[in-house]
Amino acid sequence: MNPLARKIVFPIVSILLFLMLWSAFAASIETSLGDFPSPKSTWSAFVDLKDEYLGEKQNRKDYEQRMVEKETTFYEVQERRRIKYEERGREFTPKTFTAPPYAGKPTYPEQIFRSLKTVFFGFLIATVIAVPLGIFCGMNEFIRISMNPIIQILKPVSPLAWLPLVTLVVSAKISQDSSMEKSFVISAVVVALCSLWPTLINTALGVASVSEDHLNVARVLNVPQRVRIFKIILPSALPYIFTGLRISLGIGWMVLIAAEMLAQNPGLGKFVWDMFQNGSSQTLGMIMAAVITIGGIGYMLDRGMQMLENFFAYEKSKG
Amino acid sequence: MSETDTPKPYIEIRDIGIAFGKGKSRVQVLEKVHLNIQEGEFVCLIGHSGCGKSTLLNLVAGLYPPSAGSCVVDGSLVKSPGPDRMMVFQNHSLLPWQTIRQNVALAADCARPELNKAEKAEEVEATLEMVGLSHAMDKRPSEVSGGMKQRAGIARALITKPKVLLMDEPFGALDALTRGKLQESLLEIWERNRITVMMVTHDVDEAILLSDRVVMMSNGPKANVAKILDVGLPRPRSRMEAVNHPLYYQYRNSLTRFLHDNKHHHGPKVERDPEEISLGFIPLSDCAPIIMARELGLFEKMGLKVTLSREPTWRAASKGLMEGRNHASMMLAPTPFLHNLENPGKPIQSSMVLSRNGNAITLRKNLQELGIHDRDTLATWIKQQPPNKKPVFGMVFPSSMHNLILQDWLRAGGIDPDHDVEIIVIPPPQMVANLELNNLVGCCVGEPWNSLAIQKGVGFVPEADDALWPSHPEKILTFTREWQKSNPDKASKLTAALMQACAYCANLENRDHIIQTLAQKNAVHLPEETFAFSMRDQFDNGDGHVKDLPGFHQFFEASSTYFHEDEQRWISEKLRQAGVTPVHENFSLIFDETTYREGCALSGYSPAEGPALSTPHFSNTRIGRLAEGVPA
Repeated sequence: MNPLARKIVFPIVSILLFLMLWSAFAASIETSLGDFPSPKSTWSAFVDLKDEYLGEKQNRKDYEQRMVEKETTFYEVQERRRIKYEERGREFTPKTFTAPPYAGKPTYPEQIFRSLKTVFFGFLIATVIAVPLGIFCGMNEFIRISMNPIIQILKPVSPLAWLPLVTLVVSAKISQDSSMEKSFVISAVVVALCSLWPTLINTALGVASVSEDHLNVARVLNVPQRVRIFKIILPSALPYIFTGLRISLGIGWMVLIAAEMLAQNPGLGKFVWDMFQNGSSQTLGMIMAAVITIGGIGYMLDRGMQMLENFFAYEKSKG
Repeated sequence: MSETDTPKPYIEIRDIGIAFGKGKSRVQVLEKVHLNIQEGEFVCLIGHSGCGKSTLLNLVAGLYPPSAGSCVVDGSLVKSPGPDRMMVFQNHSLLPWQTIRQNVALAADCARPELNKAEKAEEVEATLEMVGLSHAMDKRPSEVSGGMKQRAGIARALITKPKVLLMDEPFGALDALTRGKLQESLLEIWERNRITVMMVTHDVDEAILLSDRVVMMSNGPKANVAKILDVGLPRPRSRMEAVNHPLYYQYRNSLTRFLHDNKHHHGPKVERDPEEISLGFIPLSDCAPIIMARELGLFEKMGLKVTLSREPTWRAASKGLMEGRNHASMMLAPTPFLHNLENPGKPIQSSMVLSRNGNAITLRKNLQELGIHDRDTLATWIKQQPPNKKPVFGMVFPSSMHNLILQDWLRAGGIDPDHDVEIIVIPPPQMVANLELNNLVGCCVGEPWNSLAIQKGVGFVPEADDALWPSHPEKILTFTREWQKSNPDKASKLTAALMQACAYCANLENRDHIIQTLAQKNAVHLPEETFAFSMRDQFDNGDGHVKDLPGFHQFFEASSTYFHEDEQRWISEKLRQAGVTPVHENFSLIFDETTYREGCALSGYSPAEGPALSTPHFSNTRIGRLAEGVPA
């Protein structure tokens, strides 16, 4: 098949067909909040979100401008007061101006960024736990056998089941004035809890399937344990580990939306929830826009991980 | 090497044994393997797959502990793996994510902590240069050829300065050309370092080329050291010199024969019809009676069910009888005498002579350029040769007429077969190739191999068989006494059928039919013209003249099927003279007169009477005197 047709024409045709079907069905579904959003209304939601973002940006700029003016005024007043005080021989303690934080609502890109930050933080926690644990499981059959039932039981648990527990624990552990927001930590931990399993299992598998010959080389050379892990076992297990990480990140992204909805972490999940709650006529279009955004970002994350995975798998298959 | 009389072995493998698995599936792979290796020795382990060669190597490496016995290297017991016993693995086992330099450096880091960073880097480069990889140091294993990977594997092993280098079929996965190059490189490197090497291989030539000793392992389970071959080729060696060395083919043959004799017979054993007789034969011109008996249906006429089993070597033929694979077999006339001395519990006997004559001495054609065309000119030339370059003659089997005839022929020309020349064993089908390679001066072999040598232009025949020992017994029909005792009827009928076949073969009018039949795939499977002359009692000497040689092959003339007691004595005596059997051994007859006579009765021929058909030609020998009634 012509590569051009394969890579461009067919996907475009299928997307167009999908849009047509979507429009046809959207018109026929009526909800309590009006018609199901058509592609057109979804598009206009995107445009609104953009306008909103630009508007908000302008607002912020205006606010900052006002604050600069306020600051100038503040210091002018203070200066006058200081002169007055000195004339009267009274002691004067100067104050610094602090602008109150901008209280505008977060924009859509900010929410996307927040979601990404949360998912990567959760993913990081998962990786930090799963990879070393996986190496232990892979290197020692005893540990592997002992861990297996625990992994198998915890693996299918839904994020919604974890959430109340995580909320309580995090609330107890994190004080109000911590630099990290509770909702952020809760969402990230839930993401980590649900996404660490594929990495753990794949790492263990990768480590357990390191070539016997390479291990024999290590044994004959009396390679120290640390070198053995970092120069032989890990490089050999990397393709497996990256496959695990890719699956983990995919799961993490899916879990994140639910976690954010319930933990009220101001990312895409909360955006969807808020839209649902406010019930305006625009709601459905906005939700649809969020759905498409979530899908698109999920797709891009997956492609990125796949590229990494292929790179390492290729590196290994060459040898 | 140590100066003491018995140097202490560098590697001592003491009654080592290992078993894998548990309970019923437990397999004793090695049992009581005992082997000593000296420092600086290059030893190859050879044997069929699954004989535990690699396992033995891994035991020395310490990769797994033995179930019994122990291994001591340089005075210390092997308990765990270590870089002093570095391994070169079959599939190179380089780390694919590291460059060749990094792979070798990793080994240096682990095994040579005394070196500082700069010294280490220098050593890595020097070692890689030694194996011829200086141009590819910074490539990944995936970017270089299989041979280069294996070179890198060797470099990685050498940099650890091991006491013992263990190589597990290092060149097994390479193509022949690359393998050859690597073997030569390894030889060169070994000459420079002279480290102790244990190497597992499947390749007979590789083993001879490289090693001081070849350890042949018996088949598993319970594998053990079966034989050890000392390779006495001079060092430093090169492939061409080794291959052209007269001893090379002798070594090669003994290894090949060992591997062949130890071949696994895979697959389920076929249930045999108890009535069926399996008759072994060797594809040669004088297997004609056996082939013709089948062709003419003579076995069926006697009410026998006979299947023929084509045997590759004489050793296989006697083994076939011993193992009961064959009930009866075509055999070289002198073989049972030796066999019965070695196996007194399971004697072989013969009920008839299948053929007489049929041998020739063939000399290498290019000797004619030196003015050699008969025995006298040959003798003069041989006397002129330096004592360390003895001319080599080939014959097919120690206990063969060929050996006896060749020795007698040489002696009659004033050449001492024990001192002036070297006589080595080469299977008949390889004889021509060895003449072609100038490895042999000449040989004594049966037909059609002389004719083939002549037709290929590599040989000429100074004296055909007729002049050697006229009408000597050549091939006989043999079976074990045990089988004859329990199947006297079958033994007689078999003899009778083959007598009729011999009579058919004796008739010159039938020879065209015989030539056609012999050329077929299930017989000798050579072109008809190869048999054409000798089967028509003619012989092309290789000088362009075709001579008539009446009775070149004698199958059934004037009581030729009878193995006279005098003939048996002569052969027995000649075997002693040739040093094949010990001098003091008692002689026992092998001819089964009863079966012979019953065979005669069944086939309708009258049994032989009177003196022996043949007398040896050379009366100036001890045997000749014996024949003339002079006490030895």
